[in-house]
Amino acid sequence: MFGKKQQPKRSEPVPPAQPVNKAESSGPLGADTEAESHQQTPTDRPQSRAFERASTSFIGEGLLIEGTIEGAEDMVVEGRVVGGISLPDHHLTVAAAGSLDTELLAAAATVEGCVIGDVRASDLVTIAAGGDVQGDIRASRVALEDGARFKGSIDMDAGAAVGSSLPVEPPVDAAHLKTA
Amino acid sequence: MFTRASRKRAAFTSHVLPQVCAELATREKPNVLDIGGGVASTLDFLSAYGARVFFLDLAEADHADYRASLQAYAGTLFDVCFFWDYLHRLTPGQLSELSDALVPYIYSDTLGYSIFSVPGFNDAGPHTFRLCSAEQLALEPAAVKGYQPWSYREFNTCFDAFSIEQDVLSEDGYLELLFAVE
Repeated sequence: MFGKKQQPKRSEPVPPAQPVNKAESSGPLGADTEAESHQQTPTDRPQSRAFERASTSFIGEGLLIEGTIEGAEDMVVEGRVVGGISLPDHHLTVAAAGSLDTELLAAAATVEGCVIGDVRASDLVTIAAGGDVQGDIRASRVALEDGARFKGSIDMDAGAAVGSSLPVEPPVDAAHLKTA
Repeated sequence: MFTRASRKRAAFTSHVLPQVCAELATREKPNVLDIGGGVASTLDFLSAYGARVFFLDLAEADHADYRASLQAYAGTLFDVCFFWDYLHRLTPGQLSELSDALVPYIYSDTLGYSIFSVPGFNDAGPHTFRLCSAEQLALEPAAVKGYQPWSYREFNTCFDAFSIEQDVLSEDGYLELLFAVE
């Protein structure tokens, strides 16, 4: 009716797939699971603040970096990065004051600030309350907290091959560091 | 027969969503379009189906350019579209534009879902909806302007990418619509 256009048909029916029982799943989904996975025991808690800083890179508030950042340790971004960030085996935190105008790849990412670009992670991506992501997320687990803003698609593929690099600009050098 | 509902309510038991979810379960890695901002409980629920979820918050702009908004997902075909009550915030012209814009993104067996409060039965107005289970929604009143529930005739005229397959009016004045393409 009403002269509808012909829509594409599926080539073959797919076999029925049962939804995963959330309660039995070892995976993703939800703040409860996330909270449990983040619980620290006395044995795995960092020994000191100095130890914690030694294994984490900080991009401070007021810094603007243009280019690609590749790293082999955790990173906290409080400034602004335009380019790409690749931390395939580590955790990236975009702090509330931080912003990324870039594609990012990490083992896990927590966004409390703003990200405009695609996010890929082999494990968990968390958009915290107040966090804002505009782009597509591909990760094995994604958690949106109440108050998070997200616009884009989310593909939770447990077997996601995240890769180890981004098709972006050459690594940044010190000459590109600017004060915002 | 129907009574007016109170202004606020926390939960809604759907008679239509179970069909949508049953269909989702038959599809491998379905693409789901959610007209709205990202919502945690909706994402959590849909991820159990292995769905790729596209949150498209068209309500952000007064005059959304639907073709441009969807262009980022060119080549994607949606298995299910959750319209919630967004369709009832549009003018007839916008409804028609959205319908035309969606045509390249739907299969011949794509399903659509809409729910809205029906003035006269329920004057709660527009809501934000959170999908909690295959038959349970959480509803919160939303402050948006231009809320104008449409008649079936207006839907059939302006939103002709889909046709109304099923409609269920709940006792408390929410009308659920199941849309099909063919």
